[in-house]
Amino acid sequence: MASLQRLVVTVIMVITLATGVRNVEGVLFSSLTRTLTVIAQIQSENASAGAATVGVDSVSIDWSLDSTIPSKVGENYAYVKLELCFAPVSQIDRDWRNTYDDLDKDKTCFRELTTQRYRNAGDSFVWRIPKNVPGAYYFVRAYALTVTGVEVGYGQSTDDEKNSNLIRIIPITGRLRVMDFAGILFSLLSVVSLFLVLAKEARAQAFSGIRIFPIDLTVVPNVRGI
Amino acid sequence: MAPQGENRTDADLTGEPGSSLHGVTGHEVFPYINMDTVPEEATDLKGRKFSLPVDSEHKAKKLKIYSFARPHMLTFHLSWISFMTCFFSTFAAPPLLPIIRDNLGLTKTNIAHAGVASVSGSIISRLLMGTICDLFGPRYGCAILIMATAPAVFCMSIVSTVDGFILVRFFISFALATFVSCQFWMSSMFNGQIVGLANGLAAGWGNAGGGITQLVMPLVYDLIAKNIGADNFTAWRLAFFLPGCMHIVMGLIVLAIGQDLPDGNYSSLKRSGDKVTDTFFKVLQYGVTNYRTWIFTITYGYCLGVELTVDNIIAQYFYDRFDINLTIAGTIGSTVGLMNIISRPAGGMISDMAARRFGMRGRLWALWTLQTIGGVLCIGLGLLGSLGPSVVVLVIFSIFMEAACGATFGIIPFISRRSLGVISGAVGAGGNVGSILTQVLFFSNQSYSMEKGIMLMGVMAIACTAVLFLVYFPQWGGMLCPPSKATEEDYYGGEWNEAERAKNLHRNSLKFAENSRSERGPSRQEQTSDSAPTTRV
Repeated sequence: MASLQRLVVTVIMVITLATGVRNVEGVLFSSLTRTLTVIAQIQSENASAGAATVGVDSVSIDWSLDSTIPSKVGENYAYVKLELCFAPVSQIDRDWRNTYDDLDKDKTCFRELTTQRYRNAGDSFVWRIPKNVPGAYYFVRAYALTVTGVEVGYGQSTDDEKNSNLIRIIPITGRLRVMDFAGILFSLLSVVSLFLVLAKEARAQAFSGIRIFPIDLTVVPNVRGI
Repeated sequence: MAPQGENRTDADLTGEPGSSLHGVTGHEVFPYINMDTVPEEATDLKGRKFSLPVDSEHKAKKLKIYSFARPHMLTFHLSWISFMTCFFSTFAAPPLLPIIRDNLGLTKTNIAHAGVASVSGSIISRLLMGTICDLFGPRYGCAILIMATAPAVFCMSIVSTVDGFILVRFFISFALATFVSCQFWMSSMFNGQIVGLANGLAAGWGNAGGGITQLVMPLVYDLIAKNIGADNFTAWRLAFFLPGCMHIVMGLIVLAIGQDLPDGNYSSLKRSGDKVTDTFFKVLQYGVTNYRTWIFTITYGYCLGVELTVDNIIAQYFYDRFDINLTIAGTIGSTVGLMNIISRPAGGMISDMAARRFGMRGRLWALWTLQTIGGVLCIGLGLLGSLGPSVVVLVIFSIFMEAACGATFGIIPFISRRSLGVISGAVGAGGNVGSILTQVLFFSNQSYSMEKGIMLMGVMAIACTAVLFLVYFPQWGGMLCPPSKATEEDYYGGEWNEAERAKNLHRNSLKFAENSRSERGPSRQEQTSDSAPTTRV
């Protein structure tokens, strides 16, 4: 038994060491320079609400090379990738949305909106919010990509602390009235059919005299002295 | 009236404290085993022949897995399938958590609280279920529970708040008490020689429901979201109609074709002979004051408890850490539960094999080894960073942990004869408490990532298993210490005080002691023991 245990521990260690060889790291976010200006605005009939409703409203995004950056920098850029990212307030206590420096591991930007060709003058994009977006606070980030798709620059619609100009999206609940009714109906079906079967068997017991319930419900206990 | 003390049947003990859990462990050698086989023409009260050989109480002496013949094999299948259904619905939410957490805005703490809730409800309901089975029989117990928890499953489709989600998972977990009715029903239908195997298979196959759900629920979700085209936040809600309908269907089937006893749905309270009645408080006292109860509560907490915790977290862990899609994460997660089909009964068999060679000391070492290896593999799972090795380690880890669960119930029958029910109940509850503790300590904390939590869970499992070294049976020894000159009669008789012994109330314990001599191991056997059943739960 002890030698088996040692064998297992050795195997585990070998496996752990073998997988310790790391893959080549992706681009680090801290190595990117902020070169793009991104403006994201909610397009909504209900503009005063300050939030966008999924399925109804849109977000319009305008991006361009920052005016303080010389346009020579833009010669390296081939594409611009727009992504929807979680703001820190929506990342608290949710490890699956954590920010990592390694862009391959980073979970901040969970949804790619579009990829457009780079132009110095910039471009715009209107994103109709689909129904499967969770409710949270977001900002839009644009990555500038080289011809090979490697990130070399970025811009975002908020400040560096990611606290301003956030977009709040209101989700669907996912509930349907039909489903609510069906759920209540099936629940009632379960409880009522249970009662019906029990009542039927209790009545059968009373009629036939065969005891099904171990407790004889028809007999009044013989209480003396009263 | 039947002769005193002889041929005591199970019916005589119904209603005694803890009698609903007798049969859980399956080592009721004597007087519960009825050794007479009735001739082949045995028929039930309606005149139909039994398809299996039966004893004089009409309990089956053989198990034919592929048969659905009434009443014994049909009961076996109804009982494990309804237990499986309850595990299915209790663990139906975890594989869909990546969708649910976005829909309801759950945080890591919320998810951990929901996980705790999903194993807490059954602690209460298992205690109540014992009483219900004693009073109304297992058929009603099972059907009532399964149909009464169906509304909770349908409520999962309606929740839209965090608190609602936690509450619904709590109420659904009441269904896990079908474990008690399943075991009780088996012990009404199967003779003591085979009831250990029957209970072990039923418990293992029922636990596998936790694995089946991780496989099926993402597939159903995919079907609804992609093929029918519903929004994803609606699709997961619709998917919950599957476990809900399973509850209703199984409840109705159990009521329609199930029967409590081999002879029909009659009251099981035919009392004959003079029965030894015991008081609840005495039984509780001897259960609670036996330190071994608490040691096994702790170790089972880190054996079944780890399994329940892993059922709750594993699909989400693989989805988040390795960026795979929901269906694949669910498939990987399902392997944990599915290993139960073989590994839990196998654990019981390993315990028996160890007992044949080394007696009770062998059982203790077997349990310690299985559970410690499981703990080591759990640490490895937390440390591994790539998908392939993680899956391999996960599968092997679940085999060892679940075998340890089976091996635990190889030892439980011997801790006490008088308080067997209380001890079984405490150990079972300990499993749930271990899961609660683990989820609170390691998976609701912001400072631990999930992989660190898994690693720490393995460390704690190894530490809590080490308390097995403290177990010492005077008549058989402990892991490190040899036995003393005490005998089994001293140990089991010692649970009765002088006054009770004077009235010969401890005669059943003495009979049990005589038959438990097999636990001495072959070197110390003075006589070949009289066919102690070797099948374990």
